Amino acid sequence: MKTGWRWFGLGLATVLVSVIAVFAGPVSLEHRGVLNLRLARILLANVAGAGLSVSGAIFQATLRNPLAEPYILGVASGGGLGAAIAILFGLGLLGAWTLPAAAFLGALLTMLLVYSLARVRGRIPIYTLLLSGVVVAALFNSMLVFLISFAPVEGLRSVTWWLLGNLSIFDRDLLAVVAIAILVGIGVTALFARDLNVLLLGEEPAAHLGLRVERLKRLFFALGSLMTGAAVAACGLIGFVGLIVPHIGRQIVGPDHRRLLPVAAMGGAMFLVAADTLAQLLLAPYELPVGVITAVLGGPFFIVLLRRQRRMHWI
Amino acid sequence: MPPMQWTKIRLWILAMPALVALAAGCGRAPKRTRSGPPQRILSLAPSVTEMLFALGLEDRLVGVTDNCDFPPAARRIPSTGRYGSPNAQKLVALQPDLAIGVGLETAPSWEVLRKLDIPLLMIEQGNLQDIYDAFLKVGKAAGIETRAQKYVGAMQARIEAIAARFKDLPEARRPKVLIEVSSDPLCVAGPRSYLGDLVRKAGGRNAPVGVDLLFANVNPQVVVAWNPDIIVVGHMTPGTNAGEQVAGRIGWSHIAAVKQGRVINDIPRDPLLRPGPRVVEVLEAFAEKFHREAKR
Repeated sequence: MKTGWRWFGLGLATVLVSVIAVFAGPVSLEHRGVLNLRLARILLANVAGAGLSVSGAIFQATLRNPLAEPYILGVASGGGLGAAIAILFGLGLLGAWTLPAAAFLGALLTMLLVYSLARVRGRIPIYTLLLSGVVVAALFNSMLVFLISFAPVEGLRSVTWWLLGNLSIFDRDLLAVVAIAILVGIGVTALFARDLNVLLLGEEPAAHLGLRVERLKRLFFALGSLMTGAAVAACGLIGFVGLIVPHIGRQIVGPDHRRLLPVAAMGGAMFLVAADTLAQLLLAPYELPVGVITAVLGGPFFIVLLRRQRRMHWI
Repeated sequence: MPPMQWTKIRLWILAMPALVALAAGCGRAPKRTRSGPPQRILSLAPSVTEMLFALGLEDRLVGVTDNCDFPPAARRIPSTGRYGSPNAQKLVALQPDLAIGVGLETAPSWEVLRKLDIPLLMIEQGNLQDIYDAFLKVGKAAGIETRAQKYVGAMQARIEAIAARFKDLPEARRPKVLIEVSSDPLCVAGPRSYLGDLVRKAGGRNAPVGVDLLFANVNPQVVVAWNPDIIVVGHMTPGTNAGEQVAGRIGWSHIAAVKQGRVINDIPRDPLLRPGPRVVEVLEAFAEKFHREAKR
């Protein structure tokens, strides 16, 4: 009964943050059209925050690494490279969809590349996966820097802005696609919460307990990449959400993913909505990249938390 | 490590730049003695190339950027690379005796110029007055002051002739104009930019409020609140339907410009975004398009 109330409180807080965000915008709601734009943006912040946070939790558990975050396997660098290529080579084929489509394609191809690099005799050992992810991320990052250094000034603005994250959204269809992809991703992950717990014990014990480890790893890898890719496509790179929110969740409810996943989802949503509201208000009417806010807020908060509770429940 | 050794290391670290500078100084070519105006001018930006052609200095122009495509004759001049990041070696090979930039180039290219003792003229292009001043500055540096003054006088006369038509237009009858420079991120021209000046001169009002920057990334919600009567889209490929794309944005269907179908994207992008001689053409296009309703 008591836990039930706690869940209710957390849900209420999530809704409350969004409701506050509706009224705390850079301009008055009197102007017709502002409300629609703001609701779209809050919806995007909610799903992107939840998606990034849940995929952070997935990667931390499957890779059994507390430093894992949604971008660790190069998904973001690949997405960034895709977006940069689209911007710099002026591929305007799909109109407003060009950038997100290129980012998603880049993320997808990177995921497949990392996956095939990490494969050893039909299995994907964690270490080769982590290593190939980090190597591919470094490679793509340097290619991205190379492209940016060649960019004409106009294109440079778009790319650098994109690398800092932006939750501004214009397109209903894009919003719908991203929201559905992330919500489905979270839903499927929730069905396998117990398996995440068992995976945390290590691959061998998990296999002894009857888990099909390789198949599950592939599933979680795909889920995390799907959600991250969707978030990257819609709002660029937003750091810290996927790293710190799951850790804060573990501090509060412990490492059991049946409780951790919903906490991470709601916490990520709240965090990103709040950060984006600040990003819109601080320099209004100008936009501030939301990635700057998440880093400035998230970093110190995480350090304080770490110092206060030295016992880390990451495993 | 004992403190003594640290001090020594620190000394070496401090001395390093001085040594490097010394080595660089040894390799430096002797200073050319310059007499008379520069004869080998290097343009570091498309707008500068346009200005040099407008001032009749094309014969002295020895280097441009890949993006310098206007006037078409500019394509025949050797390029030093993409706008913003010129190739140092190509730059050196052209042996320019004056380089003209706009401040958006990468710092390493300035460094190369400084090392080679090539004078660098930096021009500002913020508002319309800056553009006039830039013409005069370039003219002075090239030793054609009178020609530049004449050119600016003629340009100013054309601009003021158009502006005179709208001088007495009351605020209420001036359409509120927004100039969108990029959509992702949403970037608009501020009232203080040359585009803001052109909007005023063409009998419009600048829609952006509280925008002090020349060009600013703004929140789309704020644009809805500004409710512009006209939106000039400066980034889409001509021929695509800007009206439909802008109207399809969440919430933007409530903006007056969208409701009345006054989203303009048939003004060529290059003259619009290059603060050079062609701003006169942009002003003519503005003056014609902003007051279509009144004509009907």
